[in-house]
Amino acid sequence: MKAVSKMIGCDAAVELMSPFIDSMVTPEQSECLRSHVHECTPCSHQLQSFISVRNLVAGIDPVPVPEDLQLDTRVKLSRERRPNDRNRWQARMDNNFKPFAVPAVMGVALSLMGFVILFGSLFAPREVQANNDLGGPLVATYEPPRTTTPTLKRFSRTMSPELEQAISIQTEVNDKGLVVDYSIIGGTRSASVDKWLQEMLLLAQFRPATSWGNPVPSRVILSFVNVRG
Amino acid sequence: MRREIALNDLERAGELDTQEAEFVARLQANEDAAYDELVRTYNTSVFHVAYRMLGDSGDAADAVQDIFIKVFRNVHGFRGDSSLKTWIFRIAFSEILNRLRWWKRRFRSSTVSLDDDRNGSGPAIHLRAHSPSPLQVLESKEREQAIQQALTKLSGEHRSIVILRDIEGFSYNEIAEILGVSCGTVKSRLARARTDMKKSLTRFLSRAT
Repeated sequence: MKAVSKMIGCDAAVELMSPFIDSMVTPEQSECLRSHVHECTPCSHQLQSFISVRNLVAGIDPVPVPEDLQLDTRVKLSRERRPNDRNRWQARMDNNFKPFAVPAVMGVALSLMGFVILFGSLFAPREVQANNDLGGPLVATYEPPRTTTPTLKRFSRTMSPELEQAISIQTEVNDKGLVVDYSIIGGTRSASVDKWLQEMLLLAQFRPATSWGNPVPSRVILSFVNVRG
Repeated sequence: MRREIALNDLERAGELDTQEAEFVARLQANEDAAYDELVRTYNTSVFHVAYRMLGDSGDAADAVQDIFIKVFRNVHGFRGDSSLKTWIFRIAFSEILNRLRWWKRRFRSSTVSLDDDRNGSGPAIHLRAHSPSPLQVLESKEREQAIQQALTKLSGEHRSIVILRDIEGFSYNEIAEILGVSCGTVKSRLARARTDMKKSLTRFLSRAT
């Protein structure tokens, strides 16, 4: 027979049971419940089953966490944390390719090394001896572009004035070998010297300088001295 | 392993201590080491609640990753009104309950079977040092399945409260903060949830006492 507590009824007691097992009731409520279940057997069983449920659930074994979850979470988080798209893309590339980078580079390097060793041994030149007949030149020499300097071809023998000292001139020779201009770069300049130079250079003919076989303009420096005796 | 249940925890989640404030500052400064520590510290507990709520290891793992991304996205708004753990679990339950709602809409009639251990990381029973007998292993596995099925039968709101209180050991106030409800609601929902659990687990109750 169910005995009823003077303080609270069964419904009120049941309402207090869940917070009671979590110590979430006031001291007065706790005392009421205790005195009620002390007298009421069904409520005592009810309270016991509440405690059992809590203990069962609390005693449940933790599930094993997937091994790679922490790493996956960190990788996903690191992608998200990159401040802009470029860095995010870079992080994704890093995360995806970095694990393969070193093995891949090593693999390529070893393949290349193997390739070089294999083909090197197949196509290595035979040892060259000093008395071997190689049937031709071993080395092709480098030839710079061919150039020639202008040379005097024809010169008028006009009488020269009395030169007190040697005179040097620089002439501009065109690609036909004719003098187009001149300037005195050494010696004393005078009207007679200029006249003589103009007559002489007007008739002078050079073999023009060449570059790659073609005549090109050039400069010629000429010096004149009086030779006595 | 049996988990400790925090009793007599009537105080509101306190102010952040200095250490936690520094840690939050490091998170807000986007420091790599801080995020590594964050994942290391909370990965397991967040996975456990996700698994108990969703009933599938793969779904729980996906949820965990999304939860940490949300933590990162929102950490600048963290003001320290609650502890970091409570705040993280608030985000976690928001994500998990959203997933459950999506599931409910998409697969109204489907149920979660614990025998459907698709990825091999389900609630397997692990042998302990004292090597229980095969009968004990069987009983333990049966009990685990019964508890998980009883949890699955509860509504999302009730299941959340049972997991947070009885498995994770949060206080009523912390649960109220995590789920965004009043303390009275937590108390009444927990009482109802335990009553439902009691009905589902009747045959195990005599053994548990």
